[in-house]
Amino acid sequence: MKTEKEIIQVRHLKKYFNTPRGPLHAVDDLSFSILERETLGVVGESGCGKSTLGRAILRLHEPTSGEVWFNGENILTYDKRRLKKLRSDMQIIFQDPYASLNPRMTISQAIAAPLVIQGLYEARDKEGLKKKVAEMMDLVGLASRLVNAYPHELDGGRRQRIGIARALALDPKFIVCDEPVSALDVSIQAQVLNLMQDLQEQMGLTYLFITHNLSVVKHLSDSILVMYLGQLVEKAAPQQLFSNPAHPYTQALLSAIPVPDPDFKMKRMVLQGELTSPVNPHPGCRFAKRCVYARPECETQNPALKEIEPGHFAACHLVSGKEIHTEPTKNENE
Amino acid sequence: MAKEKKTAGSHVQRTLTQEAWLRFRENKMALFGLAVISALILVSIGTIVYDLADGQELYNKYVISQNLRLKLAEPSAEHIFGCDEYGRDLFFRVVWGTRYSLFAGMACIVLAAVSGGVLGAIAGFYGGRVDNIIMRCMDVMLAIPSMVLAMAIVAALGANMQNLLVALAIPGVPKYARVLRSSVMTVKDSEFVEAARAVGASDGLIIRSYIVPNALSPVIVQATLGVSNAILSIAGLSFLGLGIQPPTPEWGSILSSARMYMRDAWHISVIPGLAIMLCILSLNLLGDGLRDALDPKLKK
Amino acid sequence: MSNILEIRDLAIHYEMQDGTVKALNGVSLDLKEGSAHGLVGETGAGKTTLAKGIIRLTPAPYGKVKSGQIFYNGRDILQMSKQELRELRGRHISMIFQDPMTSLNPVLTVGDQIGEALGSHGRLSSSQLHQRTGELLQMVGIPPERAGEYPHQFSGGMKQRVVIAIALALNPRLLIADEPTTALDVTIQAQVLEMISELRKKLGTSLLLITHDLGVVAQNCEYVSIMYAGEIVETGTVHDVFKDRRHPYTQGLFSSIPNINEEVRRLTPIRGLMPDPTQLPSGCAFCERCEYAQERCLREHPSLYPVGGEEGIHQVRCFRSGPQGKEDA
Repeated sequence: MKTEKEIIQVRHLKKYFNTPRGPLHAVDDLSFSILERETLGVVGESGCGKSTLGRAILRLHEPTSGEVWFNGENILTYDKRRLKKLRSDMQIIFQDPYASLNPRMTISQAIAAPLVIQGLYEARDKEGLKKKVAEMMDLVGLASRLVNAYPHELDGGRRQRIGIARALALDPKFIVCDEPVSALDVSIQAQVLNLMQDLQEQMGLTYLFITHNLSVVKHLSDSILVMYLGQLVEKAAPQQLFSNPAHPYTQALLSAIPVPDPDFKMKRMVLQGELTSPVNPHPGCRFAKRCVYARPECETQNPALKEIEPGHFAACHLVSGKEIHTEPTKNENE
Repeated sequence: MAKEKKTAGSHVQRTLTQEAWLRFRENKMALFGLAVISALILVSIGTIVYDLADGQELYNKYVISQNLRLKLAEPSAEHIFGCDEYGRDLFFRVVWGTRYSLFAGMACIVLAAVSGGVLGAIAGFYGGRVDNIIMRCMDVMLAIPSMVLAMAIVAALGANMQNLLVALAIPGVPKYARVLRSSVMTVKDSEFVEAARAVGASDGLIIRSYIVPNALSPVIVQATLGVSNAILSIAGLSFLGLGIQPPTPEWGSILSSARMYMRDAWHISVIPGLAIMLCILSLNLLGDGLRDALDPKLKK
Repeated sequence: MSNILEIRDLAIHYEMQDGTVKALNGVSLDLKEGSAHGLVGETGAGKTTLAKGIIRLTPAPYGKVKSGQIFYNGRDILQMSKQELRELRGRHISMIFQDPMTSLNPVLTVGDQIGEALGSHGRLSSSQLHQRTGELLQMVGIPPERAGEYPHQFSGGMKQRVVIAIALALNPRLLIADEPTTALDVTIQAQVLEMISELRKKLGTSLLLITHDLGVVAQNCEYVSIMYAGEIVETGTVHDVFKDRRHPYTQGLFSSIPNINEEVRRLTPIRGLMPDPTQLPSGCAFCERCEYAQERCLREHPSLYPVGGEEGIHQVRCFRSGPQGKEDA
């Protein structure tokens, strides 16, 4: 059922935060697109800007510059009214099922809130809302007896199902999933991942799946984007990325995954040092300080994104391939 | 252990308020405070209803009108609290005085908490310049000694109930603004607020149904403790002659006029003093109990 | 190889307002001198209760040790006096907690905190203290010059290193690490685990590693115990348990995680939820979620049955591995 239609196009997206020490480059000039009904996985370590990326696309954080095209329109130019309408097409599922639900709302209130806010149902239409809430709860596998339960009475897995139901209530096309399973225990995690896969097929959803868990991202992505300090370092299909990682950071990341097999001896490529700060970054490759292959030009010149094989892109001076130029936007200044 | 303990479904469904009540119930001292305050409120309402029913006949006869033959009479079977310097029955005066102290204290705190709360919520939610302007004004107010400010207001506008309430509420405003501001700031960054924003909720709705209900508990605690402060301030101002004016039987003013007769008639100062003490103590116990019950960190 | 720690039938319950939480129900565990033993389980399995119970940090007043013995080199920790306990903690057994952000005191410098750990046991002169602090920092890969800095000046991985330096300050014989890398990123996790295993080789410390990550156990431990609802359901060498999974819960855990080396279209999760620890079933605790559950599992509580294995210590708490179970199968 996959179509080749690009549902989301992100061009030169930047999000800088002002800090006392200078601008923090949380998302720095990212360009990519997502095909309809596909899952784009975004991986990276804490502080690499992956959560900011998801929020910037939804305009929960207002991007500093760039373009986000959805259904043929640049949504960054939308005014408040159109933005509110857009909310029913683009939704988000949060990481922490304990923090992402209003503790003073019952399950039914939490699921009904988006419907009322978007004006799909009148707040007085109790019967209609009740039916819709029951339908949503059934969809995500929540027992109907929980309809008046409060979040603090439920376990993480059930809470995350509420979060999913709330996001799906508006029948969106595109969902940003911000680490939706990382707070859950493994057996519950698998239940939620399966649910999300089923829903994607049933409802034709497109996911931007943000996570730090590489096994999870490999399991459900059609395409993976690796971020390091706000920049895109590699993008490829999971098979390509895992069998043939091109960027040294990706290589290190993959080699650090502990494999649950005692016979599998890890060839660890232990990285020196730790994540440096994305505040006022120096020009040059941001990974250079930790990279074992770093060369002089890595310290001074920012590597461009290159296509090393069809569909496999990496931003590193050491790989060879065709340089990619996305069309510049008027905000472009470098 | 909280997370490990709860596995869903098997429990009776309880709201957070109900859970807080269950925790509150464990605290015997706080229950005592609640009982005393409830009793005092009932007494206050009772006297108001009684006055309405008999057209203040009893009020005028026992609480206000003087009977110099009974001047400074000691407690006896007929007048269990004795009589004051004008021969008025002290029992009736103290009982009828409850409503002035208690309701005035509450009204004053409600006034302060609501206005301070609104300012604090706005400052905390919008942040930046709005926050700066509001909070710097609050800082200026905090820099003025509250009792002096209250005295100045009452002295300038005249000593009556209304002015007294306003005078005592104004110095309280910054306190509530600060408390609500800081708890709004912690709540506003939580993911459920972001989720509400992601479905297109307006700022007003987010503040009303998502932020304030979750940020309110420290304000409730502060307000409970604040009532006792307000009662003390009213008593203090009355004692200085700037509060509720005689012959209204406010506890502070009874105490104030009693100070001249301390050597001859101990009961006129001790009994209203004890009433104030009991009331304040109960409010503080109640406030502490509420704090423990509402603080999620103490939730076992 | 002798056992450095022997836990016998330990039960710890929390007495709460609305019922008794049976966090730990009869756990027995042998820890071999110099080895690394992994303890795997999900939230609420009782891992942390066990870890804290070993050094008698069961939270008072509602946590109660109901039964059991914990022998450290033949002496029962549960019978020790306060003085002996103080001696035991830090010098013999020390513990690392999950969150490096909250395990350090923010108002003391890192050097002072290490010095405190050194100073509270035995007397050292200030120059000796200074020197030893520097050595410890060096050992965990932090330049000794940074001893004068405060915790907030360190990143998460560095803080966890400091915590480890404090834990190892007195050369303990046993290190209990409760999810030491859960709060860290994968590359940092790899660094920290690498460092722990190198230090262990150098100092001969035994390790009890508590985690929910099967991969971390596979790469760092020789022995493993799988916990479920306050009990050990399967134990043995890592090779026994990971390659010859016997308990349905162990099997379920493995099929729940996406494997990086295999292509699986769909995961097979364990259905249902962990039972309410205030109302544990009288039969097998896992039977509600088990696809093999039979009449007997509802009624009887299975004990740990030996099933052989590499060192003959592979044990499984399931009737299917018991004497009759084999006949049935």
